[in-house]
Amino acid sequence: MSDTQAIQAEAGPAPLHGLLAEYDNPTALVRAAKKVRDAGYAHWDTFTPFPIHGIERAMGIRMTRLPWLVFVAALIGLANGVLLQFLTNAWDYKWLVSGKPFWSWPANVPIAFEMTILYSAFAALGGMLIFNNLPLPAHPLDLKERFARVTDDRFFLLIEARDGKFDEVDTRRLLESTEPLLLDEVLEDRVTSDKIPRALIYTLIVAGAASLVPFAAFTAARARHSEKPRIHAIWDMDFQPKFKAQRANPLFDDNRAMRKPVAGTVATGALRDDDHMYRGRVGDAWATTYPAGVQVTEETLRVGRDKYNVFCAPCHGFAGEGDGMVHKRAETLGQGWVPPSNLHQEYLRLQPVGELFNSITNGVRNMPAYGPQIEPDDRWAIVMYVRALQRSRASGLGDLSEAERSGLK
Amino acid sequence: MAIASDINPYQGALKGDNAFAQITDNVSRIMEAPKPPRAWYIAMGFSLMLLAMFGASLGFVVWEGIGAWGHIHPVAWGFPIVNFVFWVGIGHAGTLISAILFLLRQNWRTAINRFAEAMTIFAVICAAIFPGVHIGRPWLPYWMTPIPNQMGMWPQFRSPLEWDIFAVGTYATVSILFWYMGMIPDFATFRDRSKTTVRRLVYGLLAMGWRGSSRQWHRYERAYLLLAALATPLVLSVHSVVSFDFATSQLPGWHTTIFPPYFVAGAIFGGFAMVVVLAVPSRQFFGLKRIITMRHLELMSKIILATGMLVGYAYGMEMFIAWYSGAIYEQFAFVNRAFGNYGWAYWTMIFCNVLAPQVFWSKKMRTNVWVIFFVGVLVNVGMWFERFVIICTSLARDFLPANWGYFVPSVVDYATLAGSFGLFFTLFLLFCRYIPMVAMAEMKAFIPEGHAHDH
Amino acid sequence: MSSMKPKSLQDPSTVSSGELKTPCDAADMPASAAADTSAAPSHWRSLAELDNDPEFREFVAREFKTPLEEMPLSSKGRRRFMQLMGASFALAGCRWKEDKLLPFSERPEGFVPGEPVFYATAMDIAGVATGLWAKSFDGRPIKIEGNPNSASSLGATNTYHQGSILGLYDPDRSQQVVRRAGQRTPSSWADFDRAAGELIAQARAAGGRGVAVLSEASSSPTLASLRSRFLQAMPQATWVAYEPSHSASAEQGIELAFGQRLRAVLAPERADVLVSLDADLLCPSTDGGLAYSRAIASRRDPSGSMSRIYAVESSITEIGSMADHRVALRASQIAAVVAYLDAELSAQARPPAALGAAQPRPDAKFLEDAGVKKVLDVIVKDLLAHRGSSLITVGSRQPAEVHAVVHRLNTLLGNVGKTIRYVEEADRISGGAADLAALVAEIEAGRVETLLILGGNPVYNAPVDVPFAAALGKVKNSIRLGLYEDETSRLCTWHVPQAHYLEAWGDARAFDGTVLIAQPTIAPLHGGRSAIELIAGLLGLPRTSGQDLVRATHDASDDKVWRRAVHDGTLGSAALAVEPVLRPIASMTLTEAALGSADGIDKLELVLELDPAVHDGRFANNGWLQEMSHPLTKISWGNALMIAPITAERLGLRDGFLATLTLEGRSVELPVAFTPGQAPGTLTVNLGYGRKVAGRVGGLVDEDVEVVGTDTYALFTAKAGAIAVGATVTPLNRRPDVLANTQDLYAIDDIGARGRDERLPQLLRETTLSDYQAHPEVIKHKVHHPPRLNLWHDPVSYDGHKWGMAIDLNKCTGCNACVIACAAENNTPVVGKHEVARGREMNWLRVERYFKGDREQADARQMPVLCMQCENAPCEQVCPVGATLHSSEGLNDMVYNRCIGTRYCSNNCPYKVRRFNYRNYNLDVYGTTPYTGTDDPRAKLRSMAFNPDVTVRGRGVMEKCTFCVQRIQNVKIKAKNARRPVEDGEIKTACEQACPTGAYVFGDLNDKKSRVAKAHGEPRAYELLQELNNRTRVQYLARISNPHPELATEDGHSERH
Repeated sequence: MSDTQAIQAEAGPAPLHGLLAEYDNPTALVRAAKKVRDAGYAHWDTFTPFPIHGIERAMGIRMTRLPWLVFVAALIGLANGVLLQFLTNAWDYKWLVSGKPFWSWPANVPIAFEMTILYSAFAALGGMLIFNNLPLPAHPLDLKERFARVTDDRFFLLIEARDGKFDEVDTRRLLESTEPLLLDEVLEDRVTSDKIPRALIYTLIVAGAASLVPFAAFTAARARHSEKPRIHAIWDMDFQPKFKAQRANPLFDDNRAMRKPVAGTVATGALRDDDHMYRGRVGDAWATTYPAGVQVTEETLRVGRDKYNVFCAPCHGFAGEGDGMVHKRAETLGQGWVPPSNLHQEYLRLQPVGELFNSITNGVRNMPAYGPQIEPDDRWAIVMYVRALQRSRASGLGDLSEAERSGLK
Repeated sequence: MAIASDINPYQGALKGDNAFAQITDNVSRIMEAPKPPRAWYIAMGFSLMLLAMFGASLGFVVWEGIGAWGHIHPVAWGFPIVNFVFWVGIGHAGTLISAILFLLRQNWRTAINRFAEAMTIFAVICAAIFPGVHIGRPWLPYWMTPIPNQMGMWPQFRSPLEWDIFAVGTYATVSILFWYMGMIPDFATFRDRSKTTVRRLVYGLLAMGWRGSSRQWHRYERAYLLLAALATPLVLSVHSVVSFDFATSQLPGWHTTIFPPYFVAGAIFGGFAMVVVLAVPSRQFFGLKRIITMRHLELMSKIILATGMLVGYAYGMEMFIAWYSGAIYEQFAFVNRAFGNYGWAYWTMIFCNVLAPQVFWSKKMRTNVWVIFFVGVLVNVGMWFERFVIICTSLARDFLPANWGYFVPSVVDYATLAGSFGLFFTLFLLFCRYIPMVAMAEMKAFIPEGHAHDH
Repeated sequence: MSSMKPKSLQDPSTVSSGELKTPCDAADMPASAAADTSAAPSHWRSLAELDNDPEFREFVAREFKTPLEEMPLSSKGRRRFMQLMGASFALAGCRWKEDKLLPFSERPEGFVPGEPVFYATAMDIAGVATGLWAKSFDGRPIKIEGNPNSASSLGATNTYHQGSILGLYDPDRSQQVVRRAGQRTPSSWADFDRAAGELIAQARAAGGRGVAVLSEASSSPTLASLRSRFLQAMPQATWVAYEPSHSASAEQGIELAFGQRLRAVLAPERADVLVSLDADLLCPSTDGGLAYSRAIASRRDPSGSMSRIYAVESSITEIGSMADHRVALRASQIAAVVAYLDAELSAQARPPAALGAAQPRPDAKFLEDAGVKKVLDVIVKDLLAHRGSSLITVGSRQPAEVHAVVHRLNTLLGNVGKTIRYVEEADRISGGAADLAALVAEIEAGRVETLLILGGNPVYNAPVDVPFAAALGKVKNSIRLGLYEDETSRLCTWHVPQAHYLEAWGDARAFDGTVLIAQPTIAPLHGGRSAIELIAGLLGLPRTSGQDLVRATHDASDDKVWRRAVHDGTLGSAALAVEPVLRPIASMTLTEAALGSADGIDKLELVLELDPAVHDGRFANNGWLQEMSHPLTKISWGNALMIAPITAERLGLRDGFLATLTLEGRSVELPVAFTPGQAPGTLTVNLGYGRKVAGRVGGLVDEDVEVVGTDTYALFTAKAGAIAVGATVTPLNRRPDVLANTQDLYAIDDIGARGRDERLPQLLRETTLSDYQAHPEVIKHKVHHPPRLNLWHDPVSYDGHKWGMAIDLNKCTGCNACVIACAAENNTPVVGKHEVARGREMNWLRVERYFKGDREQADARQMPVLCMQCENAPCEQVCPVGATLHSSEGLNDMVYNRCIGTRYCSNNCPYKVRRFNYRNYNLDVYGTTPYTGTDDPRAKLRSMAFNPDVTVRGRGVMEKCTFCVQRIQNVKIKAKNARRPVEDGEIKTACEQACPTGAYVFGDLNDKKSRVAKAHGEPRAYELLQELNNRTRVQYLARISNPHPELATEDGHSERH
């Protein structure tokens, strides 16, 4: 009785929560439970240190629906297991493994099975807690010191005041008839505040904020542009010691891993001992004909035009009048600039093809050598195209056939 | 006795006026005592030492590369995988006891199921460490999990290793759920008996406000039954899957259809052996003789004997099938196992796993704690060697004689093996001290006073 | 240890032009690069200090630590631990490293960056020259291939050639001129030229008195002509050549037989019967070995007309492992064998009297052995049956008389002009122990003041009874031109760096006398000079550039001719053929060893041979070659005492244990290797190991770098030569610290042996020609299994390309060229002795060696094993991360950067051809690693040997043969650009290209006309472990032997049904 008074002293008269009867053995409890059940109460419960067999019947508890929940979870788990494997290995990223089909179910049984179990296990525990509405931080019974023995060796029966049939006198009489060790009133809890402790709130806020920091960092990094190379903690095989094309090697004074071939050496296939083809010379004169390897065809001319427009036109101009963009720009800048020669000049028209070829290969005056950049046959194609250009300007009646001439008349 | 009790606070007479209270007191006083027995400190110190060694050697392996381990060209799996399979095996008894024996209504299990389950979880933790650190680039094991990534790459689900990840992962999770669920009412007991606020808070949180309402008990029992029913096929599947690592390969000595049942039997065998090894000292030091009685030990000895025979049968059957197959590589693998240069390992295994348990035929033997303990230790040694024999001897001599080798463990191998025991025992000792070692609520339900006589 | 310092660590003043420099100056260099150069010095200086720091040296030489020592617990290990941490953390924090592109400002015509080109060149090893092609990437040689246009190569290479590319970039190569007056002082070419100039000037004045030149053997016409010019300029000077492998007997033999110096050129492809007497035509140190390999292999195809090979030899040679009949006899007994053959053949062939009398029939004890005698009689019969199409060859170490008699036999069999022809012997530089002894005598007599040593390493490899080292000390001025600052250089007053053959112009003479032109593929990295340049310089010739000298020798004044010669790598001018007249040969005096009993237990015979890996020791610092396992013992990183098991057991020796080998009071300790097939009583030991000043790989005592193997020159005497009778062996009851054996790593027990012998006929299938022709299916029937049904339908039909390979076991000689070629092509790391000993070698391709037959007369079998590229690859399905997958062309691809290293694939591979990086081996051995990308200059130097087309794998990653996928892709791309199909034979894997015998054939199985498709179609083609239904893309062609009917065993028949 004393503790109830204490509470009342502090927090005024608290409403009654219910009546609590205490027993020291399961038999008495079960007997009492039956009585209460028969008396037709709804809002009542018994509390025991361990599950007592037959108490369900004694209290008339209905079978729980937990198994159905677990069953559904199992199905979801199974589907998830199968889908995971199908989508990843047989659909999204197909790969050819040991000559097996992309989807063959036997290999997928174990994981599907494990997933089924996993999901249902969670459902079983989770469902139990939810249906039991646990966790439950506080309860009026906690105020009863004796009630602590419910987890040790005592058995309790509580009839709640909110029950429709509850009546101070009758209910008390009913319980007394079950010969409890002790019968006591349980008042609503006015002591334990239902507010969540401040400290807890703060901790939660801080923790929550902290958990966002990484994400914030990521988004920031994505949004901002950094001068430094990206962070790369574990290098694995990303930085190869081998030297790929044109890479640096600090051992050499010019810091290049790439070396120039030794003078006088000849790589296989680079002999190029056909003077006509590679130097434009026949005997000790400039070649006046195209080398055997070069056919005078429209195709060759087309190649010639393309190469000309890429390599020559910038200076010599598309029509070969020496009025390319580079030239024009140089003029406007008005510095000392040797203008590129107009390809239609007399001496150029008369130059043997070999000499033109040589000019392209080794350059003339301040025109650089294009040998290294343009393959020989392409150089010949350019020569051919230049000839065509020249012809386009310098062709006279003599070039026309009889029929064409008459056609002109 | 006086001397005994002042070394060991748990040997004194029980408080409490009724059977229920005595059980509660017997279990809770372990947690309530100001300090555990000296033996606990000694054991703890030793375990922590091993644990430190474990950490150091694993750190070294990650730094130095697994060249630090003794692996050689043909034997690419050595101690780490042996230890993995060994620990996973140990991890089987717990769930088996709690789940299968529960379904079989073997009430005696309640005395031991709690710490058998604890053992399971700790063993699985030990096991889970090895595959992670034995790989060549230990910072990448997460590539084995199906995490969406910029490479658009997924795990390759045909690989038995992938099955392992899921099997062992699921097993660990479910075991923990099962373990925790069983402990909720006992945490509540501890909560209500706690004197200090901290303990009240911690145990309170763990108990989640359990008040033993019968309506809750009803759903609780139902859920427990379901978990047990789920854990049973799981526990059988896990070691089957682990055995697939070997059974699905092409290697003579691995490629064997008998492996799944054989591994499961072996796991139960080794698991129970570990349980007795743990049970004998803990009942001694924590004064649980009244709870873990000789009857329990005897029953477990019988199970060890039975499963030992199963395993022995498997060894024989392997040999027979190999001979019967007519495949020369298969035949050689097993002849070589027994009489080749790894014969010593094979016969150690046979002695420990097949011969040693035979003493349990005699009642006298299986009621002598020393014998039980010793045989338990032997069986554990034997089971470790079983895995060693399967993995290493098969690899050491496979198809082409030119690349036969002989695996010699390095210092790191031994250090990690011993170290894993350090981790295991550290966890176990902490468990003994701070967590209800016996399922009190269940115990109470099974003693005569626990039944309601009113029909 | 500044001599080991790379160029950049040196004081710039010593940098002579051309080395590590290019014509283009900093002006036309990209700003970034310029910045780097300016930043460089301080950087290197700091490294230089580090390089002198003992801890750093220990760090670079760490491969020689056992894992135990590496534990951070041991003090040494802890230091390294810290260094590594420092090394990896110091590097650019944890950020992605920027990579720079440095193009040329002006590109030479026809030079395309990143597009490999080949340069014809030639390598001369101890006077044995081969025409080669150096693959040049960005102007750097990265791989050696054979020159297909040169008869000396026909496109093939041997292990030495393949290894030479690593030698070029060896960080331990000598990098500066060094003066030794009392202590070692770095010097410069300028100083040297001044000093040497004075010396020569004085010498000239004195007519060359007191001047001597000691050179290694060389076939270079230019050096020969320079020698004569040298001796003209200084008449009283002496020029001596020394080569430990040199044997005068071959030349003397010819002189005995024909009265003139000639050169025998063989044509084994024309020989139906080939008798090899203690000779190995296929051995890489045989002149013309590659050509002969191809020739002999061309006659080993059972579908063609197959030759029959008899080998009578002391130790299993490459040709012995190929032979149809092999008799193991001691080397000294060959003389008696030859005498016997001569007696028998002459008796039955009745040669014209002009040929003189035959040898008397020797009454040798071993002829009492029925087995031996039977074979010899069959040989006689077979030779007579194939007059003009047979060939007898004899080992160069055999005495001159034996050679003479063999020439007589070939003559009377009418083989001359058919299977053997004689050409004029050109002027070659060669010499042996006798010559060296003469020189030493000169020195002892104080008649040599100035000694010029060109290459070689006489201080290390001089015969033990020729006190060269001591004598060298007595010489006032000794100048050494050497690739390494080795044992010899350390005793000379001057050391000048020699240019690697890939750095210098040169020429050489092939086995058939044709002249080879060698062009450099890169400017000398360390400013070395070639021998011809040095001599020309000393002679003060007007033009001393290598090119001018070589050109002058062959007076190729016409540019066109010269460029053509350079391009082809040969002048094509073959030596003049002659028709020599045989002179009567006096009867030999046979030693008692020659007539001795079959088991020579009473008088043990020691045969010293060049090493297949390190030759005479010159390749000792070459990681690839050191790691190459011996074809017979399978021991790498060291030599062993090869001995027949029966002899060994009678001496109480144990396999793998140490034994003391004593000869004339001098003794060495060697591990014993039981070698079936070894002639009883013969001890075979390889030279070339135990070098103390080789380098950080091959041993360097004053830097605590472990010496590799045992120096057996301690038993090499001028007196006895290569064959020494009267050795003694006493067992030592302990094992060597490490025995890096790549096969049978552990002494095999009876169970193992039985298992091995049981499965061998199925793995390495063979039968006789007659059996095969009668029952072609016999090979496929060697193993019986249920029909190979697939559980699934094939997910893909390989209808594009379908790459496959065939390996002809009839042709493989176990020469290991493919192994080294694979390492060079695929950047497989060197793991070091201790790791090999733990079975962790990384070669993607291994040659498995098995012994066949009983312990007295065993044969060796060689079987290359590489990834079988299974269509149902067992490795693939077990990988949890899909790091190994199948390509649509049927390649079993390995994705290195996806691999996490579970090693499950290796476990599930029945062939165990996958290799795992247990450590950062490149870091361990060369300080370079794909993980921490160290800037150690040594590493940068070695890294230039990496193939840019292949990833350098790091720690914790699985790797394996890829069928040289980079080569496949390159050709496919080329073909695609040219809009043409890939032609058969256009793609050559590294192993295929290197193989001297053409045992490998790679190609597209969908192309029914391809060689590989045809090979797979042959009835003798079989899959390894076909019963596993892995459907391998590699198939083996069974070994078909062609025994003489009278000697045919029941081999093969048993398996038929």
